[in-house]
Amino acid sequence: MKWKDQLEYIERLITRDQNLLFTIISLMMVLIIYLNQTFVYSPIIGAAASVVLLLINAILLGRAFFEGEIAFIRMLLGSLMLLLLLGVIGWVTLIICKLDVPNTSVALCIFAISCSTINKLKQQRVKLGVK
Amino acid sequence: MKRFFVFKRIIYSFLAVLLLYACMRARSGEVYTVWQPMHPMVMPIFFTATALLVAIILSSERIEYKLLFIIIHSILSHSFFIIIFPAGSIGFQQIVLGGTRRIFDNTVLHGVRGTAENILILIYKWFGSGNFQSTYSVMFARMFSVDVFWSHLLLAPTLWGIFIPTITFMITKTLGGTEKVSALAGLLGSAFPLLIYLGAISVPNSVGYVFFLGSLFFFLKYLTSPESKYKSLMLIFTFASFLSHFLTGFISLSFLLLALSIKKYETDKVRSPSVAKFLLFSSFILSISILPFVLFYQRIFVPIYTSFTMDKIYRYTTTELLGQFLLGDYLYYFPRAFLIYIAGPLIAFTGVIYKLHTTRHQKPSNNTRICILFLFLGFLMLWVDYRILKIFMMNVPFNEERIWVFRDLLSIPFVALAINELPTFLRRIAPVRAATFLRAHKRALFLMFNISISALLAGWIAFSVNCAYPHYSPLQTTSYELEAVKYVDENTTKEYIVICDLWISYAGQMIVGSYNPRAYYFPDYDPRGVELFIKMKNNPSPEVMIEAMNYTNATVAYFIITKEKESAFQTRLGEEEYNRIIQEAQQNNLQTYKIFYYRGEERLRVFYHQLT
Repeated sequence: MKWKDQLEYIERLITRDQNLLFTIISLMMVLIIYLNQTFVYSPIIGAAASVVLLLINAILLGRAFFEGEIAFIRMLLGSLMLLLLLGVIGWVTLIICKLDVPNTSVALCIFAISCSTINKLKQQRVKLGVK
Repeated sequence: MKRFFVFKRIIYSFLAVLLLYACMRARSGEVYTVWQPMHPMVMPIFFTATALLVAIILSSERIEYKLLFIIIHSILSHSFFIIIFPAGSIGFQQIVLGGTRRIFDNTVLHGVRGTAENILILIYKWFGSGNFQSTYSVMFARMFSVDVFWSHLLLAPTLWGIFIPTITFMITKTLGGTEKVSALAGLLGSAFPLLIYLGAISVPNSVGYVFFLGSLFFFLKYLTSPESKYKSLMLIFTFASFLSHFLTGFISLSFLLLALSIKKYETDKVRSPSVAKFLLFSSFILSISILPFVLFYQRIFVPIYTSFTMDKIYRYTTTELLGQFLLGDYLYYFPRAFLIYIAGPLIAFTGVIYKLHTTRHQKPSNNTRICILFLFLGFLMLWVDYRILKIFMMNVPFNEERIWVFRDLLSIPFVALAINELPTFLRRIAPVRAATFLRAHKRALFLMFNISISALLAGWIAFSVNCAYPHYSPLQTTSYELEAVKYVDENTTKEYIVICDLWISYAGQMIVGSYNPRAYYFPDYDPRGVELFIKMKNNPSPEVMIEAMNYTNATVAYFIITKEKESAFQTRLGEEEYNRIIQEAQQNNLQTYKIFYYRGEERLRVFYHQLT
């Protein structure tokens, strides 16, 4: 399978996930990040979990907001949206309290759930035919 | 053909890896500029890689590969500071890291300087103080399980490298560019020295520019697309731009006002053209005045007294005033630097005017014309705002030339569009005989054009990178300065205060954070720190160190001095003074805590005094 097709296949798999499997995977990645920061402190584990978390959610947001673009650009623009969402949620957490390890994990959970919700809402709108 | 593309991909990847390797080999513990330790082959490799990338962009290669390579190239060209210097570029980004470090260490609540006596000031501090950028640095550090030092220094080059080309690509597409031209625009972000420099340092303003460009893309989409989501997206991005930095926020707000008024103008102009024009003009004036008035009224929140003035006009001679008005600070640039700074914006502005002229007979509902009108007004607004700030205002809390960065960001798509239009334009203005010749040798000339444009653009980008990174700087934070502040922190269990120069203070704040009561380094703007350092230089004695301890109730005080070999831009102590201070300190029974060496030679000494 070509790279472009592979990317689109993965994208379809993630965005049309009815059982919220990828949201659960995202939340598991957050758990791994939390445990890594509390006990292990390994950049390899951290990087692996973070990349998976960021990729899943970039794809979700890219599909939700930029459906008309090609898969790679969708993912890049999804990353831009992800950056914005991550920053705003993190900033609110920081202003309310502080960005320690537990609070960062909570912020990441909120972020993952928000991405999943945005994607679900978009799918519902598509079903209802709302632009 | 496919094999040829694969070959080009492999060659480009090889050159990119080679470039990274050559830069990493240049990483040095004691360095002034990025050029000093760099191998002479780095720039030729950079030029070759860029030329190949332009050739890839102009070929029929898949857009995914083009964008991927542009992003790699962009990240590389913005990472020279972080790769070559031990602690990134010396200065403000290190102070920002000081604040971020406090958040990372959980020693502050509600963000940097998150407490205030007044709710208005508290809200101002939430939005300011670099909290938004710190959020990214801290969150990425926790996610990737690395020290905040790395996530902070890598933040701007990475975000800039990924998103500026991507958004520029999208903006150029919105302006009617083909995929090739849009990809070229993605690369041309590296042809502006100011953009290279701002993307290479991790300061809140840099992150703000990324969100500003994002908001600009959504303004254009709002103007051209009937979809309602773009209205929300442009508002959200304006907010993010504001959260990142007030300057980018208010410029985004001005553009937002322009976008809304152009949309209104488009709907109203058929019904009542004169009223629509008047409203558009009023909105334009309002959007120009937002930044100057915001700066003036900033005094409500912070003691920064920016005000309007006519003094500067009286100070300049007529020639100087005219020069300032037309060229701004370019007036004082070397001709070579002047050319490279002005080339892009000049081409872009000419391109905008040309586009406005050529699309004048198009239908009023033509989307490209609306976008070009919007960007033309944006250009004008920035041009006027810069002049107001530069000539009619005093105590502006930032360098007015930062406005140029917005102008450069706006220019990128137009430069790419202008390059694309160049052959058509030349064909149109060529005499009949030349036109016949051009038609007859179309293929050969097309090939020649592609080769020469690759070389020309590669030369332009390489020269911009050369101009962007300073050739004359103070000694950057050295590896032994970092080592010293880390050593002191790791081996002191009690509260301590450090008397040192500005440069050690930067290094200290990066490692222990700003205003850390447990490990206190005086910030650069605190005169008490300077006073204590001068006292210690003149009379290195325990009495001065005891005086310093009283500031934070510390029980241990350190005095750190660094020696610098004689140089054109000497910022640390010279050998003679360094030796004199050591001698006097020893006479005054001041104990040496640790000596640090670089290549076998003493460079830094830490003295200490502890209350018994």
